[in-house]
Amino acid sequence: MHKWSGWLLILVIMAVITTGGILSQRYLDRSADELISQLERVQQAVEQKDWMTSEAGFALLDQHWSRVHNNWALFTDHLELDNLELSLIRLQKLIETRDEVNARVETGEAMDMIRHIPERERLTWRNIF
Amino acid sequence: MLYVLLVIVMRLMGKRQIGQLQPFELVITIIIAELSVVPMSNTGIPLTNGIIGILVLLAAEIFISLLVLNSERVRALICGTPTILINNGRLIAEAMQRLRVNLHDLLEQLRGKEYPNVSDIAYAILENNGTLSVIPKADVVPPSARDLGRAVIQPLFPVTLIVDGNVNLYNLKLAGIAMDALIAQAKLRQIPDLRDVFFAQMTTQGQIDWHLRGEGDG
Repeated sequence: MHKWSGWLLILVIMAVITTGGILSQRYLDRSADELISQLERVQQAVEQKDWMTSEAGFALLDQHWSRVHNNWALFTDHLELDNLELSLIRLQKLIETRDEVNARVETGEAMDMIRHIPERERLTWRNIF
Repeated sequence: MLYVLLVIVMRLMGKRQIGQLQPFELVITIIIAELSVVPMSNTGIPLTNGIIGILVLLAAEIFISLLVLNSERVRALICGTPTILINNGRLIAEAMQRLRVNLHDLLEQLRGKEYPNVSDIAYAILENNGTLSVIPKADVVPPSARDLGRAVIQPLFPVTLIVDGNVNLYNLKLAGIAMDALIAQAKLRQIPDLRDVFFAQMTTQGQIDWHLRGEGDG
């Protein structure tokens, strides 16, 4: 390998990883914010015991989640995604059974899990060490 | 996918065998192997986690290699320096203790290199990659053609011309032989068709060595 091609390869690898890292982090942040705002709308409807709105809100959230899930699986821990998926399934059932208290708890838990995923991938001292 | 990436990464890292690796290369090779196993054995971990780690280590390996290539000081710091263990037939106990080289291991290695007597050795050097280089004293080295004052012909580069009946046209050009000349040479050896040739090589003496298919079979 020529000397210059070695430096070029290092440059290309670092550029690809840095750009990929920035873009994936932005995507994670943006999609997590969208999911959380949808969950907040569901939570508000649950608090007001407006079950029709909460069901409609959850259907929208579920559609969005199906798209996001596949993309997130490319660069996040699948176990975390599975836990979030289970939480959303529980929330759906709680809304269907009109269980306000548990639905509120589950919504909060799901929101926390969503927030945790981009936080886990972020380049921070806490994540490095 | 990870396997293909690993093959490419190992090719980019160079041609050295495991035993010839410098310490930093060995460390990187071990970590790369470990990194590739994790996403393979645990389906919960995305492939990208392994791929990014492997690529970063590849970049680190190339970076350190380039630093080592350009600076003697960095080379000494990262790779260390060769150490003389035997100087003019005398064992250097201090160096052996410092490098934690056992006397029996040293003697075993010397015997393996066909030097049973320590006193026959001018220098034994422990290289950075852990191999032992031995320079024997002049009076125990077999005489060379130069010592005997004999005229010798320098060897040519050996070139493979035919493998399993297929003529390698690039090598043929490299050897400076025309196809017609090759066929003519074959006919001289009673070989009517080049497809009957299992292996043909231009030797270091500039002659063509022919091996016919089935020739060596019992």
